[in-house]
Amino acid sequence: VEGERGLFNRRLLHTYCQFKGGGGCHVVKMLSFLPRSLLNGAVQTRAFATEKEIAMRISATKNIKKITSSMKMVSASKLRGDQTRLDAAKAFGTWTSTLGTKVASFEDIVHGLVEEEKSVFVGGKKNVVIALTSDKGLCGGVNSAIARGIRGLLGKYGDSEDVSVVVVGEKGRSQLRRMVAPRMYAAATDVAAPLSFAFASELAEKVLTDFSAEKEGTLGAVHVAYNKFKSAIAYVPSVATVTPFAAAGRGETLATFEFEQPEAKETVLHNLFEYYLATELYYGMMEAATSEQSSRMQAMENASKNAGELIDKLTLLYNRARQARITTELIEIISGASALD
Amino acid sequence: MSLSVCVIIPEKTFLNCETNQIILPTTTGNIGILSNHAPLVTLLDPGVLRYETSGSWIPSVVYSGFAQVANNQVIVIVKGAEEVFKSKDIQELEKTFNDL
Repeated sequence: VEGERGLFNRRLLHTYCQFKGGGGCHVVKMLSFLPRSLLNGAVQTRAFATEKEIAMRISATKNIKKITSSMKMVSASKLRGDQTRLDAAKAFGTWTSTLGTKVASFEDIVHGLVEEEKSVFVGGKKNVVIALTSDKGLCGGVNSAIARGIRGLLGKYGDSEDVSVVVVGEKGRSQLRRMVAPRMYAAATDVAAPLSFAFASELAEKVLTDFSAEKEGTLGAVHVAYNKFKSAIAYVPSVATVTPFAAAGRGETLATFEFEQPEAKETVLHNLFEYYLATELYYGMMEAATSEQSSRMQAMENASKNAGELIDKLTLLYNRARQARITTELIEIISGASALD
Repeated sequence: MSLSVCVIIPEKTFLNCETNQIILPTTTGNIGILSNHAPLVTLLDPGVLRYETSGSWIPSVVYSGFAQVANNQVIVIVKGAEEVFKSKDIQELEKTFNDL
């Protein structure tokens, strides 16, 4: 009844059943009139998708496939650029290995495959974890891998320790904000890619001033968490631990070296440590960016493949619906014609 | 050729060469490094780094950073470094300067 909206909004529901029996094909058409009000409380019956609806779904899926495959190609070209930058940064990154950076994967630390099975955290002093993640999404599991790794690390070893978390990247920030909320210290988001050494040194300076402002010796270690790039299809979530230099005593850094400015030895060591941390951060950022691009490429590849499969399935459905419609029209015409006779 | 020199900047390895003598711009002035120098760590100020090859000195501009000398190996880690354009012709120099 027109005019009365909502109560008797009738819809014609067609249900087509097509089944093969014996040697032939039977088409049965059932008409059922059901007022909408009866439907709302009861089981929701969906109309069998018409030809046009399936056609719309197919064209939408085709568009999605185009978008994901072009995103994949963009990622592939960005990956090349990131890989070149990473290779160039390797020389810069290896000088720090002489100063004692320890790199281990989250897997090894948390599941105790490292022989000593001891915490990477320095007891009794402040520990800072810097997580390197991405700003943009659609990049597969890279960011959740880092967030999970940090959560596991803190869960296993971080209970009694003073650990603060600094996050680079929006995706990591939103995940870690929920997971390790009380320990989140700062976040740097929407930094223009590609990340530069200038940004790395700014971050290193900020971390050092904020955490060892009072006096040297309050900062135990800085841990940089990032995805190490192994190959175009594999990355390993890892953490690189950097411990501050000791100016004197048993663990004295560079003890065999003379200092050109000996009266300023503490300053030199402090500056060197800041530079060292900036280098580790920069190298970690390069690795993280390369892993992100390769993961995004893989994710988009999978999405395009799935879209292709979905298009094939929908096309079969569409053809079935089309044939059903044609058969119905034929039956109507033929029965109409035979009625005249 | 007794010293091996490596100048590294974040983006790449800027310089890799062998020389007999190198001058570094440290925070307390220029120092010259010859072979068999004692192990040394020094802060570098932005300045001109010169190394000697076959009688002539080749300069480059380096930004701030560190230098480490050990076992006749000089490793210079700096934030950046620039090539130096040399010419005897003043017009050519001016032209390159304006092009920058």
